[in-house]
Amino acid sequence: MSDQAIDAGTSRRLPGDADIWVFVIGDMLIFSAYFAAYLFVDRIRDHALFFQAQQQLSQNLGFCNTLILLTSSLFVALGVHAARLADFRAASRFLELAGASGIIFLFVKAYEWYTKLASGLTISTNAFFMHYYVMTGVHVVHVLIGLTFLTILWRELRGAAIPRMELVEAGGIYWHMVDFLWFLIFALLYLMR
Amino acid sequence: MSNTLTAHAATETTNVATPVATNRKLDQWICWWSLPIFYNLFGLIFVYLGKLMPPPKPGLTTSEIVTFIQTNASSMQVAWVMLTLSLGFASLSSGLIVVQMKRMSVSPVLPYAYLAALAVAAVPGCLLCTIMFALAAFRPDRDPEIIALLYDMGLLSFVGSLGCFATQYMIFAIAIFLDKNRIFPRWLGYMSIWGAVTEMVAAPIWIFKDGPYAWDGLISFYLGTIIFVVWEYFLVASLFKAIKQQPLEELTPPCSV
Amino acid sequence: MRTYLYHPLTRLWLVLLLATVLSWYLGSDGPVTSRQAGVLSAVSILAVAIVKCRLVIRNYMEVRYAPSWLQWTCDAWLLLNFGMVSSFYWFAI
Repeated sequence: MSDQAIDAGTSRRLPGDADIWVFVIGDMLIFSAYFAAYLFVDRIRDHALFFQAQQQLSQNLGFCNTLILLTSSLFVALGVHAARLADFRAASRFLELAGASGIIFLFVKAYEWYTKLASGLTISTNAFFMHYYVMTGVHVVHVLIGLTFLTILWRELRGAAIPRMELVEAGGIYWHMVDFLWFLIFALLYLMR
Repeated sequence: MSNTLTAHAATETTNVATPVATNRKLDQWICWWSLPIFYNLFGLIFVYLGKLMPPPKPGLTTSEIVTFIQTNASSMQVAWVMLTLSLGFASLSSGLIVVQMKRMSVSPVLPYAYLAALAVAAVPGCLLCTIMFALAAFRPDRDPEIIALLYDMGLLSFVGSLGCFATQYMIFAIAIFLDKNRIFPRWLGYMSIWGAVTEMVAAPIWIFKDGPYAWDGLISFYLGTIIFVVWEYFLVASLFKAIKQQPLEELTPPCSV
Repeated sequence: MRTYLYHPLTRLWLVLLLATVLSWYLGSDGPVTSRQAGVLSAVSILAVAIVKCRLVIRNYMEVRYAPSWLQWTCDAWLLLNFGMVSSFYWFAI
């Protein structure tokens, strides 16, 4: 039996708490609305323009960011796992690594925006770039919220005598959402032409 | 009298069951009722009479704007007079939220900051729009360019007054997360974060005259309004629950006669 | 701490990494030869992304151990997005 199953118990158990799932599922639906607007309001009108505009995005930078974020997710998952085994030092170490990855993601994103802006591609250049900046911008806000959350978890793991596992799991759940939303943004904006 | 109150303390259910004379939370209930009444009025005013929800297009020409105002002038005049008279009642609900927030295990700084943020936000978010459109409806003889300016000012302030509302949402969220008394549910705090992010996504309306990020856009307006309505509904429901569950010992006792 | 790396979660990371490389490869193909090829390429990239999302949801977020309503909700969302985006590419291009 994997230790995940042992951790979770043999019966079904809600990871984190109900509140964070309200937040996460709502956020997932909100992002679906952004995707719908991208496709059905604008892309549907001028596919050629979108196709051409996408060529100007760097798939390499997008790929880098995807790797960074999915590695940070691994760190968070391992951190939660370590916390369950009461290895709080390792858990907080993993969260530090995850946070550092998150910060690197932001720097790469900032660099990517800088290169786009330097080539004169702003939010009002065309419909594609409007969606690009807004979607990646909203995602960045989510990364920042996630980093705040990770910091709270980190403090909990280092400070509290008995860290609250629901809190640690809740923060992890939010971070993983930020990660997989990026998978979809990467696919939709950078790869699917 | 005090015996009746003690007996009620543990078993108080709704304000309807308790006679008016002994209902010590009557003041809060009056304030609470201002919320459903005000928001229904708000809906009537902005949707049916004022014709601003959903908003007309940002890209209209001056003459189209003047036509829009002229065709709707009479209902708009009613709408804006009503709103000018009733907007002040929003202070009742703000006061109520502050009182409940003060029960939280956080510093009173947060409820006061909430009140300040909302008071500031109401000016561009509601009042400016009212005044601009009232002006346009009551002064049809003005230069069309001025009417077009009033139109822009009204709608941009209505949809674009983001920062104050985003702050209000964030203060509320922080207070909920720090509160150990659990006056409001955690998920309401998370919904407040949706609200704050929605305000940020409304920022592009200053740039775009059409599309999903214009002031009548699918995202900036419709998604934003849906999230606001959902949040407001659950806020009102949570306030109801919070008032009901407030122990009578917390209320200021009347001076003994 | 290194012992933690020998964990199923790390193996999953490797899978996600390879899946990302695969979708990157699919997305960086040369000019599209035909509409069909373009749609197929886009939908397969999307499918890989959805599978990645599902792996993260079920394993990192531990939804596979969660009550069935949550599992259904997450799967429904994945299906909604897959359906919405792939039908766009199928019909609108």
